[in-house]
Amino acid sequence: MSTGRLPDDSLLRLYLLGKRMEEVEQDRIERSYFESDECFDRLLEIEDDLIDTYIRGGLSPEERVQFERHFLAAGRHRERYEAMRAIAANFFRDGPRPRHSRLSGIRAFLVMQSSAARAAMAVLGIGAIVALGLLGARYARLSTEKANASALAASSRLAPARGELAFALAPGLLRSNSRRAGPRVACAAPEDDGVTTVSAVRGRPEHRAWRRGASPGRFGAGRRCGGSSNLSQSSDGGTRLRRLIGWDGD
Amino acid sequence: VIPEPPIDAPPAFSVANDEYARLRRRLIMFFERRGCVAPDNLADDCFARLAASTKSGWRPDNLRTYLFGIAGNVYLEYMRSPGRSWEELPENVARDSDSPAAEDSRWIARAVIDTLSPEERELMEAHYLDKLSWKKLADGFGLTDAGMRVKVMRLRNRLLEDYGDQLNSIGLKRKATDRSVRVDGL
Repeated sequence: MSTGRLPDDSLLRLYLLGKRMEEVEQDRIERSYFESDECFDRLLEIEDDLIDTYIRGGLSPEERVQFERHFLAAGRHRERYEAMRAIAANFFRDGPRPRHSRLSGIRAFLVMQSSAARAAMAVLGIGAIVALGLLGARYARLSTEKANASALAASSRLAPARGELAFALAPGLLRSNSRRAGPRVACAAPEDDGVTTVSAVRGRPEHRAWRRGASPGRFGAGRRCGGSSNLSQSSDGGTRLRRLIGWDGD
Repeated sequence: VIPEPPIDAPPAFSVANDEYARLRRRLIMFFERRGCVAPDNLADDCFARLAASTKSGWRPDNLRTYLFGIAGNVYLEYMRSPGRSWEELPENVARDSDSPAAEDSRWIARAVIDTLSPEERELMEAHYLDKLSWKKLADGFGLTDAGMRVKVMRLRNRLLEDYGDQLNSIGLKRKATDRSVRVDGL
């Protein structure tokens, strides 16, 4: 019998499950597997496939009923089923599963994917690694900057240095007249940035313009030294200025 | 130990053992499909009729077709005979059994499974435990669907063969033990 005339697998499957079919159809199938080795071998394979699918829970409800009522009614089928079930049970019930490392689990997962899916996953994985690397670098940079800023701020928050005045105010030369018409606050403790600017603007042309930035380490944290001040010549100007910045030196 | 004759000896006409076994299996399948109670006996009946008809030296042109015809006649006679009915199925035939024999068979199956290589085991786990489709399984192992089916089928048949061998050997041992017990008890 030629291969082209062999009944197809779905028909053989229905035959084995005992599904009702036309007498002519059944006769054709039986004649086929009697005369053709190929058809007979195929039928045996489908028998095993049916048992296998049943064990794996892959039969439709209707097929399952047919399988249990008709197929397993044959002693030979039952024996085969019991043997296959005993073997299959070891893979999902009785025997403890061998311990797999996480790596081998990932490998197994990858192995089970299609080649296209694996390629897509590889691309995604590389993209994720690159993105993570960039994020990490950015984070590291930000952390460094933050650490530097913190260190800078910490170093600027030193206790006010007492009795240290980086500039010289000669008594009698300058005077602050912040209260009224005179020069406003000429100097105060430095702000957080640690830089204190002491400015003196000549009240009169003959007065010397004076401006100086003080080292934060020397003035310490505090309020900013306010803008410019009109300083006038006074015999105790230097003393008053010292008071304004909280300097209580000698 | 005196070897026992095989239960189903081929009839006394010229058919190779292998061909005989396959013909017998065809006949059994034929009667099983029709829900006959004892398909083995009916198959043997077919061979008996074949032997009777070839006793004179006559040979059919096509043995298989001829046997198929005999099977049809045997089935018709069977249908006319009393007591023909579906075989009583044991309760919950698809359920596990807790009998000692079932426990033996599970133990043997476990021993047979232990002979698998890690790769083979992985494949069978993917098939039974993870219930992967043939396509996914085939893709995972770089094979075609048909190739994967054949691979699993061969592996399964190998396991079943080993399982059957071991089960038989245990059965023979058990039979020997039973005999020795009986002898001792005499």
